[in-house]
Amino acid sequence: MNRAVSLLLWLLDHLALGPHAESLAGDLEEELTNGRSATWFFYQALGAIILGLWNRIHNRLLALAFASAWSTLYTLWQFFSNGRLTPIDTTRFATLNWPYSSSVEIVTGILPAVTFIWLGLLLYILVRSDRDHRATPFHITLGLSVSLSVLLTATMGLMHHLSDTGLDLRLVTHRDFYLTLHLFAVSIPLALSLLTAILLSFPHTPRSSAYRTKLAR
Amino acid sequence: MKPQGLLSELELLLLLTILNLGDEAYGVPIAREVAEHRGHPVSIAGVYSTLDRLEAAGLVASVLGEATPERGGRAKRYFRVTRRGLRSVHDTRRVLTKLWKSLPALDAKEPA
Repeated sequence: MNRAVSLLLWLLDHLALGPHAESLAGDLEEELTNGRSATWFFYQALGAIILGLWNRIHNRLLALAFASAWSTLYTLWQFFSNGRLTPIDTTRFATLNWPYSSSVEIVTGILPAVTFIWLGLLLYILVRSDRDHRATPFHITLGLSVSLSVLLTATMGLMHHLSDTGLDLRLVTHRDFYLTLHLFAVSIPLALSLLTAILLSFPHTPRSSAYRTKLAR
Repeated sequence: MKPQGLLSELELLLLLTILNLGDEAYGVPIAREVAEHRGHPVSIAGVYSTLDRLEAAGLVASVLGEATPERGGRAKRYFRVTRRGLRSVHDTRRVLTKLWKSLPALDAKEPA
């Protein structure tokens, strides 16, 4: 058996391309042994690898597209939620000592963004949950908590980046931080956070190794 | 009983092929039979991808079989049609038969 054939069989065995990857590789080798041409084998093996990779990433691409599209609706969300989610008059807390004054400002500033992300996740779960894709309560909780950390980290990174570009962050209030002229840039933390929540909320689809093991029993 | 939804051409072919092969229904003979009936080669990965979908929908079930040296020590995966799958085949046949009744006969004198 030449090297290219061995390499393709190795890739089919190790890329975890689906629950039937091992059987598929076995079928291709059996056909090759029974007289199929090497060209036939290459086409079949390459087709299997491409199809398997597509099956693996297309759910993630869908999640990425949804997270990107959803984050662009944040302006609309701000318009409708304005004053409803954070009805507290934050100026009352300005007289408080640090860190209480800052904490209230941070919470009221970030709450609309967090609610927006959670709403996006809820919508995605409602639309995508089916036999093949199930979000469990444990994974949803994990997704939401990690997504919050991602949002805070990405927001801090963005603030650092905006400071470098010369933007005076003191002139940006907590309320319109996500509505600055850098709309594209500010949607990145939102999209990253939502993407994290989605990916963690949906444990890998039945094509996971655990499912393969279950099938093999 | 409410129909499960019509099967696509490949899904129907695969289910009928598995029923036809009986205990010998694994990747190689399934792909060969489907290619023979379709009249052109099929991608084994495409066959497995459809079988994967049918299995997720509960229309087929599979078990691992024996590993042979000619397969590099890899096990065969044998497929069988479940009761639900059989019902889907019957539902599809019923709908297609109803539609075929109104199929006009080909007139030999008519130009193609």
